[in-house]
Amino acid sequence: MSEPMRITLSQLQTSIKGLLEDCFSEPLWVSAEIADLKINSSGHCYLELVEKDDNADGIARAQARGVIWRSNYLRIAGRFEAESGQKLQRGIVVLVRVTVNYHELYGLSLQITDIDPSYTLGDMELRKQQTIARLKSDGVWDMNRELRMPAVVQRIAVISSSTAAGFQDFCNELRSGGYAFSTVLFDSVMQGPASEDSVIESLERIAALQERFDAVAVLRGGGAVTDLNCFNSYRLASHIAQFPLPVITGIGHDKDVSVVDMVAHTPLKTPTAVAGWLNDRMAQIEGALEYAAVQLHDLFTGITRSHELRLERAANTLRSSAEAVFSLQSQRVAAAFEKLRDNAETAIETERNKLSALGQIVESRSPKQIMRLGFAVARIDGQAVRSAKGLHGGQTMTIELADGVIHTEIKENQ
Amino acid sequence: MSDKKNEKTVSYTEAMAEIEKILAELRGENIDVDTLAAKVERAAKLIDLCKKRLHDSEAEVKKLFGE
Repeated sequence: MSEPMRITLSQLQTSIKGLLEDCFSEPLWVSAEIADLKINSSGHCYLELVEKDDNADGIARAQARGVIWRSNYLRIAGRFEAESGQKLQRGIVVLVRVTVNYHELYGLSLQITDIDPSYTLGDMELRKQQTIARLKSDGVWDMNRELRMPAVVQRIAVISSSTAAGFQDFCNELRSGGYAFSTVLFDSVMQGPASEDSVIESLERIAALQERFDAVAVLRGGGAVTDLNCFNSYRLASHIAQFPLPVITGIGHDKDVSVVDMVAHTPLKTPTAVAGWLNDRMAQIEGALEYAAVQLHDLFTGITRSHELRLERAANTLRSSAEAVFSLQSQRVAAAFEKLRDNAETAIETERNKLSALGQIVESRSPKQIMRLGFAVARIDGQAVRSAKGLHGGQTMTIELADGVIHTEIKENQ
Repeated sequence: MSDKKNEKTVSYTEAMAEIEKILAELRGENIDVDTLAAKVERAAKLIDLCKKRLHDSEAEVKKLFGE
């Protein structure tokens, strides 16, 4: 029985190194997730690459160290950021070109000489579509959009970073409108892997005070590299979708729309646009109020005028009917008067005729008329002689005829 | 009795609804002239109040909303 072969550790390592280098003499393209990334003081970049199990959340089924030498790092990272719009950082999935390297002291490491940005983009897009599908199947996709945005959005809970330029832009733009807003900042991490938890924590704090706010504004912007990854996360998007207040976003993207934007009530491009939108809304309300004031004035004037006209018409009708009644009555009075006068004249005429007839009778019986018929009045001493008795001769007597007086003397009385 | 609600506590939504209601009444055929002046005065007051609130200082707004 031969003894087992004994070799030294360095012999083993050298042997592994030789085998590996024979086996992987050419570079390979390997897909993996970056579990950790550090740049040391000399500028070399060290990464932990993992492959996670799809079923068991977060558990790695494979892991290896990777390194990007300083001489390659700036070129690789620069191109990756420019083409993927994504910083080379923990949590993203990459396709890396590696040379398998084995060191007697440090073991296995993968030397990264290139990264394909389009693979990461494709992976992000795939994950984004999966997130969208999941939110839809959860039944929460439309929930925030279906909330009613209050007519006046004046009390705003702001999720942003107090130091971010975007937040300052928002404040300046909001002030320029001249309207009164009450904004409360919930200071949050808006960049990098910590942002998901930070934003969710702020949302939870706001939810506890929800009756104090009309809406939530999620603001981000001014960063050098567009990093929307956290705004595509299922957890954050699900929180936003189900948030009890309407959410307005201004997360400063220019290439793509994040899932958070898709589920938010009102997605806008930038923090400045959010402030502009809020000011516009106030201006609209003010305009509506001014229009209401004009309508109120016009309607009031119209109603007053129409009632004045009605009263005027009533007065006119009253006047003209009064006039008609008056004129009818005065015609009747005139007619009555006419009739009365006619009747009176007839009566007077009749009476006059009667008087005239009587006058004629009287006239015909006057002494002069009788004297004209041949009768005469004998007078002695002015007295009419009514009898022959007592008269004697020698007495003077006047005989009065119709046309004169004769003085006579009685000769004898027989 | 919502018409008699105190102006200090009436919300925008309530105020706007009341303004619209009064305008609708004024547009209608059967407006009661006896209450016309009172209604117009009420609507004008609500409009002024709402406009003021849009420009009130932050402190004022907070006060109005009980913060």
